[in-house]
Amino acid sequence: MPDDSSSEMPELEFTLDEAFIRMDDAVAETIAGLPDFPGFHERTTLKFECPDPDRESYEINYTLPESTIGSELVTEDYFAVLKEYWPSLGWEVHGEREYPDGAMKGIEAIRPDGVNVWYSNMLGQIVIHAQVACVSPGGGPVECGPPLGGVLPEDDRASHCTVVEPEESEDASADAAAPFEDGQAVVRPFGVPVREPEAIPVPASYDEHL
Amino acid sequence: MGITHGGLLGADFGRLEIVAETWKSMADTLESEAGAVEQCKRGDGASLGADNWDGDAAEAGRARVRDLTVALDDRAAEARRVWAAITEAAEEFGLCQRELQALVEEAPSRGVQVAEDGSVTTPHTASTRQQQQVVIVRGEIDAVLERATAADEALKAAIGIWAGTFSESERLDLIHGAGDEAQELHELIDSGASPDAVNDWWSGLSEAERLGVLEGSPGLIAGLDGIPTDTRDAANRDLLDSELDRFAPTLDGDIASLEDRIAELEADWDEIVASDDRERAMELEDLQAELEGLETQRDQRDSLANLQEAIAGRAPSGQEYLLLGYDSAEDGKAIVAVGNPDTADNTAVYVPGTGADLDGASGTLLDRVDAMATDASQPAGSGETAVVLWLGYDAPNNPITDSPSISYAEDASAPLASFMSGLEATNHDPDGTTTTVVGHSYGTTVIGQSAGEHGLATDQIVAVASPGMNVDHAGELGIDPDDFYTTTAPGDVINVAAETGTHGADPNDSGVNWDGEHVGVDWEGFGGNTFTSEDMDGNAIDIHSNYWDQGNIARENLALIFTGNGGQVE
Repeated sequence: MPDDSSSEMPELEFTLDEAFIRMDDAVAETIAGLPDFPGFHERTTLKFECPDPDRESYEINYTLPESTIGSELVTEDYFAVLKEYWPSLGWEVHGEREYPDGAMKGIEAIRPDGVNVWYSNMLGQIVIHAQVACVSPGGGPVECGPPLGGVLPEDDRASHCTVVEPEESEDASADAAAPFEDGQAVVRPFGVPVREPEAIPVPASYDEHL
Repeated sequence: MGITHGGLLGADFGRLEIVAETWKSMADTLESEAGAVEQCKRGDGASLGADNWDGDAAEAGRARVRDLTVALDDRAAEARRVWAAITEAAEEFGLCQRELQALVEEAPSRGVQVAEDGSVTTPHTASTRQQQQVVIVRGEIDAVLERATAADEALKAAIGIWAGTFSESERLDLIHGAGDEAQELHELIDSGASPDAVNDWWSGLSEAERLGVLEGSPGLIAGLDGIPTDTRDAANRDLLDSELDRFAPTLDGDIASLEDRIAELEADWDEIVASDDRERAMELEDLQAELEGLETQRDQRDSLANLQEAIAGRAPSGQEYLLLGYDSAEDGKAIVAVGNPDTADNTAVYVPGTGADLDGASGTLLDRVDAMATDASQPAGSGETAVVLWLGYDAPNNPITDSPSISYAEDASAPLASFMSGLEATNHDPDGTTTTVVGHSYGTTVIGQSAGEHGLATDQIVAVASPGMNVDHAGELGIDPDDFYTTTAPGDVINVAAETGTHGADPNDSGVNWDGEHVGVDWEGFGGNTFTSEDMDGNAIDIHSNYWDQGNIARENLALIFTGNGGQVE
């Protein structure tokens, strides 16, 4: 049984500013070792409390596409690959568990910088979690890169970091800025005024308006 | 004026559907922009974050960004409601059009004809049966046209309210038009109607009447169990907006002025005492009392503003936030859903324990709910799980002096039972939905008290770190004991409380020692299932809050239970 003293928080070598970049990097390193990797469907992020009120824990979750549910490649083969691959990168595999019927299974490893990656099978659905525990606040912006593995923008739910595109093209910004340019028509099926909404000019970034 | 036969048959609803999609795009864009604006101040490193900009102007700037975020989110919600209203109307119009078309085409086979103006006729030598058919077909056509007209009126009201196209007089007309219904609702509430009865009554209203009640009497329905979740959300957000508007805009300045004057008087205190200056001494006392009152107001305002901001935009799981109730009095209360429990495949209702308050509802407690909703989306084939934070009770503040009392659970018992019945009443498919009530710590005592006293409309009950549920066996919770799950991590300080038996048997106990002694053959354990949770290397107190930490297997097990896969828990 643990003692009653406060839990000691290990000091990470990075702050929150870098946390999401590092977590994504750890996932990128992980999937680089997975043959025939099918890509990801969705990215989500979560925040957790920490015993030290000045710090917080964060997590990035990448979900594999529905088409991979139950496939032997992701529910069996990748476990075997990671068990060998992570140590080859210098990571420490520190957790493996499998429920009796094999429907629930997990393996996790920690990178030397303290980022934990957990490959999890939830009834056939694979989720890769990257985690940092009790990271201190930095001073700069909390940024993350674009999602990995072909996640579509509408399936990227990174809500605890600002997604920074490496190179944003002018054309792409212009498209995003005028989604309703043509839509001002009025439709009156039975005299009820049903009008399309006014166009909204959307800047590429609000920082430049501050 | 109603929709005509020719009008319905000739209408093209394709454009209407395009307009609906444009409103949806508008909602998505507004929501996305709300997130982008909010990022300007989120975190210490953001452009307007605390590390980059300090002082009164910075606070004002961040408050402005907060207001902008909330406003964008509100507009996004309105645009989404417009989209939903148009989509619903277009579907109903299309259905009516097809039914009318079919009636016209089938008319000759029934011995009658339907003219272009909708009149129903027979040949000159009509039989009695054909004459009867004229009346019947005419009635069927009228019924279709009435439905289309009702859909049209509902659309008009929804557009008027949510797109803001109503003039003030039209808005008032809508409210006055639902005056009788609002009065009926008053009477229904006063009569102690059940959530089921409330839902039946609400379902019997026209859309225009519902909108009239919502617009004119949001306070009547905001916390009323049996009213659909999205309607309660709209009412609560409206009330929250209004309540925040009622705080004096000069509140912070007034507090600062008072603090300055108090500091002056305190600096002169020796002189005030020496000169027996009762007037200034009295002034100091009055100002301190006034300051205390204003600080209470500021705390309330800030807690409400934080709640409003926390539920703007989407949850990390991508689901919407819905506000089913709140109260800023004392420690505060809040009921917040991640995902709509009326339409989700599974619903989990989380009852927090000691120390829970309004600030937690926009902080740690909401983080836990976010995590549970995200986790529950991960098991294959799980469908959508809505997770509700139910802080609809005054939780004990102090684990030593307050938590041993059952009074908090007794006070929470009826409201929780009513809330669960309300969810059942508003659910689209109560038999097909897996519903779970999960408590943490004293929250499990609340659940046990409520289940034992009133019965809870739930399929499953989960107790996390329970000090006792005021019952001695899972069978007393009103569900099959096989649908009861419990966990307490090794080393959790709650074990000490559970062993005292103050709140009944320890749900994790296997048959001995629940009251500190062997109980013998009369008691064979609490029953139900236990699942694993980890101590996460915390101390006895930290362990009690570690169940939602990253990597704790408890989270995985909760996700399995919520999604109807309880048989898989470890």
